[in-house]
Amino acid sequence: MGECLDIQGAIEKSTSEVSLKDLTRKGFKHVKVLNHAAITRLISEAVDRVISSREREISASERQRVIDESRREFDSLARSRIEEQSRVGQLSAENETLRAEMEGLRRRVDAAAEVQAERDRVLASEKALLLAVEDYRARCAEKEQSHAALEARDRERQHAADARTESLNLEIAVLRERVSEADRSFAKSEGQLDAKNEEIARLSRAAEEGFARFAAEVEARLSTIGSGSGVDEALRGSLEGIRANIADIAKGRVAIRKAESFDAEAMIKFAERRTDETEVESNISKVQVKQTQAAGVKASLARLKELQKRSSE
Amino acid sequence: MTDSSPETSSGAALVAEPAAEPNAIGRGCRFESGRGLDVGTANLASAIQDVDGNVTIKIQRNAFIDIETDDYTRSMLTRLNVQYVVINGRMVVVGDPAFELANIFNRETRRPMKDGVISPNEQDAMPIEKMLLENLLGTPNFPGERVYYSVPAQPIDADFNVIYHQGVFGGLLKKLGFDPKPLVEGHAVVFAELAEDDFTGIGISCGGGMFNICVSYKSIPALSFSTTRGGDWIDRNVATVLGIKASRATAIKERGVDLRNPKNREEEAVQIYYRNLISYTLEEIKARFESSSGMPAFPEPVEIVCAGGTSMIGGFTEIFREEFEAIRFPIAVKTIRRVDDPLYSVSKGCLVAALSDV
Repeated sequence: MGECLDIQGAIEKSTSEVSLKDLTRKGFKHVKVLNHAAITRLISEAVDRVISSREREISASERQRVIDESRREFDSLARSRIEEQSRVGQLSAENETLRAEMEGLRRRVDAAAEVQAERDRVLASEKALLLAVEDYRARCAEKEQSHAALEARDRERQHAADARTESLNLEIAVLRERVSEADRSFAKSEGQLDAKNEEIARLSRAAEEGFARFAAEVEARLSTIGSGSGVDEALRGSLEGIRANIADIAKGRVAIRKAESFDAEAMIKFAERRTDETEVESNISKVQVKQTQAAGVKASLARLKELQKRSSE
Repeated sequence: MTDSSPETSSGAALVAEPAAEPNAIGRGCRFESGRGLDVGTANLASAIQDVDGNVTIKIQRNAFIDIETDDYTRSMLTRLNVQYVVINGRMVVVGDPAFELANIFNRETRRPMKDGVISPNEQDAMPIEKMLLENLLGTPNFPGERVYYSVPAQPIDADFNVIYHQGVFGGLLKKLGFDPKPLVEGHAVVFAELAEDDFTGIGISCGGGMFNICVSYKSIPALSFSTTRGGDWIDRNVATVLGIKASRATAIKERGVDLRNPKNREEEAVQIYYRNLISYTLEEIKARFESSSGMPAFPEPVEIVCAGGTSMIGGFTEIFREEFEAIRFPIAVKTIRRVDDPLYSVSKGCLVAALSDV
């Protein structure tokens, strides 16, 4: 036989592979299966029938040759088949080995993935820790700044308080000095006042003694004046008038009063007089003063007048 | 009211502003009769209203500084629009430029007033104050025009009375031809800012020398008093701790500090003393309220309004609220606010009083 018929190749080329799932989906619930051996057998039978039909037309030698060739072909195919099976077995073994290796690799990959995930977790944790450290550092710096500012402020406050205390102490010292001075002035004034009071009392006593002497003298004169003559009557009238005047003066003596403690009206009048009349040179009237328009007061004024009106009613 | 002051339909007197002076307000305008004057330790401010209801404020810093006198300086100062006065042969620069010069030359300004009242230490103060007032108010529109001027209430933390100060300024204003009426600062704040609440509430004028407090019920002051710490107290203390002049401390304070966010050591010092001042003032107010038998029992919570230059710093209201929360205040308070024009509030309140009293 010149050419070997590649039945398996022909079948491969002429058929297509359809999965059971697709067939089920297409509505095929049962299929007839023709295996490779049956096909080969059918073809061999067909060939045999053709050969048998043509057996009469070929010679015995040729027939033997065809049989030999067929046998050789068969042997070849059988060997090929055996080799193929051997190869399939070998491939299956290799496949198993590979599958086992792959399984091993997959486990290693899984383990590596777990390690990677763990590493990522550690990295994330480290990053968070770094951020937290940075944050703590920033807050620490901020606190340090605040602390420094507070310390500076405290120092300033302390400084201010010290300065104020010093100033107050100074003021107190000045005031104490003024009080002492006032006390001294007061004592001096009191001394002067006592002297004046004594002087007034002395003068008053002298005046009273004078009045008494004068009154006694008038009384003595009156007792010496007779009655009846017109001159005596006129003199008596005059002396009696003098006596009455002395009595009036004595009654009208002004008691020494204490000065008023404070008279606001008098103070205002005193202050109003203190308007300096000094003539001065100035350009004030020639210079424009800052001038501005402000919001009106009409509403306030109207409200006040209304309130005043209501109150008076 | 005189014949020279015709009345409007509302009963207010009308006058035409004389236009002869460079500082005349709105030449040819017709003005209501009556003026308001804020006599502050740090600033002097006048207020006047025209017939259309526009209010004009003129303001001067109440400070001066003496410099060398010569003809060139005189000429230059006038060209530079800087006010000066020559007293006893010494040239004195007045107002804001005095403050600027003090900072440039690292000196202190001299102040006509201290702790809210006329300073006994400044012998040159009187003629300067007179000129400043004349410049702010001009001449009266008719003899005896009413002017309400602010005076401090009696201090509760110092032993001095304000009668002399009141008399001095009353006398100056009389000399200028006005009919002066004193009005306590806190009450002026109530007039200017608490109309919505029927003039019921607590007005606080946070000034340079003092804090003035007025508790008012329907425009009637139930309680008025002052404390002798103000913006100057902050300046003095900041200057002490930083080793600088008080004028420099004032400049730091006024350059835009935010008390909630001090940016450097200087601003921190300002913040510390501001907080201390507010806390001190609130404690004093509380103590005064608790010790007063004449306090009205308000039917509803009242408003606290803060005015004055010392309240103008950033974050003042917030710090005030924080310190307020820290104490048990004896009066129910609904809101605490700073007024829109802190620097002009007292003069406007005096103006309201003057216009309602014609």
